[in-house]
Amino acid sequence: MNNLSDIFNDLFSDAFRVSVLIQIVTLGLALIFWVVLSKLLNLEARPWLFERRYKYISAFKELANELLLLFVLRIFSLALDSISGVAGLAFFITGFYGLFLFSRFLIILLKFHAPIAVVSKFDLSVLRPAYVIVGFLSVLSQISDLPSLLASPVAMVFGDNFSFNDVLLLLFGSYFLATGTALPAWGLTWLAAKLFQLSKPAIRATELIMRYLIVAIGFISILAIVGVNYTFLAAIGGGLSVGLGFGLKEVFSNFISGLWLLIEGAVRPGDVLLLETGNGEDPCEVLELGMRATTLWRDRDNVELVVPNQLFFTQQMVTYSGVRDRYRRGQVLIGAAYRHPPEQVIAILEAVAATVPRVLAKPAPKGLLLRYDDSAITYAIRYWIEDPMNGISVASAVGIAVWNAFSREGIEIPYPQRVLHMDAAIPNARTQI
Amino acid sequence: MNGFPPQRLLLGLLPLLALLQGCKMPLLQEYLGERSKSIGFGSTIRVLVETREGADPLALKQQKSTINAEIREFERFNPDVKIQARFIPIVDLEREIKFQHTRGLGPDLILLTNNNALPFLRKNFIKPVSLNRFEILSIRKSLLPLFKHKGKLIGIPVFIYPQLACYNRLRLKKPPENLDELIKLSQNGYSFGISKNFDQLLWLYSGLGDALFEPKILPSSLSFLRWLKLANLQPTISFESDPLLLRSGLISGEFSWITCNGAWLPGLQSSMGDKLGTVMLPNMPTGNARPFLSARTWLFGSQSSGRQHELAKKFVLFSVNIVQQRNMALKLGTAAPVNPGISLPLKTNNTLQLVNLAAERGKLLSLDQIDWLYKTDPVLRPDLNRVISGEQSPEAIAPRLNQLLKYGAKK
Repeated sequence: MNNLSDIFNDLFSDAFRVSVLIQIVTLGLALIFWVVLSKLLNLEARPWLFERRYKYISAFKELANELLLLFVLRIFSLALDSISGVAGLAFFITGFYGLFLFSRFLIILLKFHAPIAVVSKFDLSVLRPAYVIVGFLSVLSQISDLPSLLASPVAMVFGDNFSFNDVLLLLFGSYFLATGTALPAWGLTWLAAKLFQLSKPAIRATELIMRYLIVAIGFISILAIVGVNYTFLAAIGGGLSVGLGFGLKEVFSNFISGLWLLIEGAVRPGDVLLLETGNGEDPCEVLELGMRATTLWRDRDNVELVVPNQLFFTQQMVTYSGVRDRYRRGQVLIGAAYRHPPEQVIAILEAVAATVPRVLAKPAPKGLLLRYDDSAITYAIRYWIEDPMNGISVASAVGIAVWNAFSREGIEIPYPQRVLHMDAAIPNARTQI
Repeated sequence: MNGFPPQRLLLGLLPLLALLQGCKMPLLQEYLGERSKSIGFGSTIRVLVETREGADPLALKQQKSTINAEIREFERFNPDVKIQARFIPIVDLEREIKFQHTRGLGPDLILLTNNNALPFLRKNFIKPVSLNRFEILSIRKSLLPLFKHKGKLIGIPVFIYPQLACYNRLRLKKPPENLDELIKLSQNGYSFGISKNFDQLLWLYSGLGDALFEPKILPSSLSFLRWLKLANLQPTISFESDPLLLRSGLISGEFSWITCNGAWLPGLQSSMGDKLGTVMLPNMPTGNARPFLSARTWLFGSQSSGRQHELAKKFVLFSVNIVQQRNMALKLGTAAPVNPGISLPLKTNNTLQLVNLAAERGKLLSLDQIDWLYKTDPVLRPDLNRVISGEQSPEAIAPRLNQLLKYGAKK
């Protein structure tokens, strides 16, 4: 901290040097020049050549004024350098702004090729914080002996001296590992998917495994670079053992369960499954397999269920997207009056089901006579659908289509009926009733 | 502005500015350097301390601790002032100053291991300093003219390190008192290591009867070159350009005697203990040897604000005041102070006595002379090597060397 206060003191002292002030004034003049020029040129509003033909041109158009500023700053810095020979700070600030602009270009370019959510998260969680940290360290390197500052010890743990550099690496390295692995993992997964023709759920599982791998390798590397000794790690391990024995047991169990599920492939993001606790009619889609819990989406009421990973170990699950395929078989039960020939009813049911959208033609819908009930013969029409999440809505559509067809063909769906037989051998039977 | 839209005017200005790249405006550069005096803010000064090439780690540690102690002491008396010192190896110093200078953040003070300041002045990295008649009293009268260039004081010396002879007491009972003894001892099997850099050979050159840095006298290098050849014919005399080899050679026992510098003594004392002996360099046919002296010299940065320049001067004067000079001279024990008003316990401290005697007898080059010497050294070196290696005779090299060493003609 003492070092930092010295640095700020130094910064304050140096700000009043003529050689520094001239550079600041020059950049200020460049800024004013740019404001006027950008208003006059109005680059972002005016149409550009081939703007409509090439999507990149219109996308990068929003950076036109920023690029103009970089150009103006550079020209002013060069002019100052030529006149006075002292423009290093102006060049540094211009260069740093150039770096920022480059990162904006990169983000726009990435948005064309990678999922926008991933790129935006990368931009906000990684690129901009990294830019701030790099900027801070770069400013320090301009005014002080950065290598010495970074090498200066700030803490001692288990006989190991931790330098400022180590602390920065531990703090920001861990942060960037936790937040910044999505894009690299996506990139590696994209490569793996191209190479091995992975299915959609496999891609999502691979992406998650890649993230865990990058985080694990990165964290081990950070510890190796920092030079944490084995005693320290053993102490942490010992502390964790005790913690795991008590409060962290569930957390650790869920984490290991999550890893195991990923490796085994039993539950992967994108899978559709029924929990034992559900009523069997509401399948849920696995959205994300997290460190502690899995997030499921239920379309009936659009809720997200956060289920601890270890639940998948202790409960039996029904999945529609397992090893074989993702097809789901649906069924609608219906009763028809006894007077209608079963062949006719089954033919109608199969024909009707085939006409319902989202019902697969192959395997073809199959009508069955299930049983003779009290009031009606119960039939089932069984059909296959592609997306297991659509079970209820397709069943509803099939039910409506069957009703319409029965109505059209004069097939009666009977009410519950009772047939009474009057036994003549019993006197006054009618009176008894 | 009809028919000439303002945006065209502004766009036209950009190439005009770009064209300025071809312009050099030395007057403006000088003006900017001078203007830096006028603004007075800031209470932090930055110091770059040059460390010797191949410096002994212990000597380096001692140097750092001495400078840092001095800074702490100054800050104790001036609590509003912060001094940030960085230690830069000699090979990186110019690059580092240039890096800072181009940003307008050049150091406020530079501490050199010698007084070779003119290259920095030529690059506008430093500026002259003025001392009033009281401030001048802190530095020996005889020294100040050596630190002036074109009438302006460019640097301020702080300590003088003389060239000495170091030997192994166990191997060599009696070190050579003159050059003849040195040759005889080498013939008896004692090994000698001599620095072959020309600045380190000045004691031989001037001691063998030739006058250097005399504009009106033509140099005569023949006797110097003949002695070099004679010495090199002795199998136990080695000429080395790397000070590390000389130092490690004495410590390991490869050499019984070497030419050394006061700045090496802490490391040698630590490695050799009581075995280390130090004496003056051997006497010459013309009299006592005049060892080459190097003066640790403060230089003032050209980009400091007025306040920073004043603080830098205050710190430098603090480092040459009687109390600091005495304390540091006693702490170092291997350097002679520049303040004339100091009395040191010379009778009880043999090394200090020797160092002071060598400093009195030695030759400290002026800024112009040392600048000339370092510029001439790369040209001289191949010729010296040819003689030392026996590739060419002294008679063949002497005329060329005399031509090179014509100091006055080059000034």
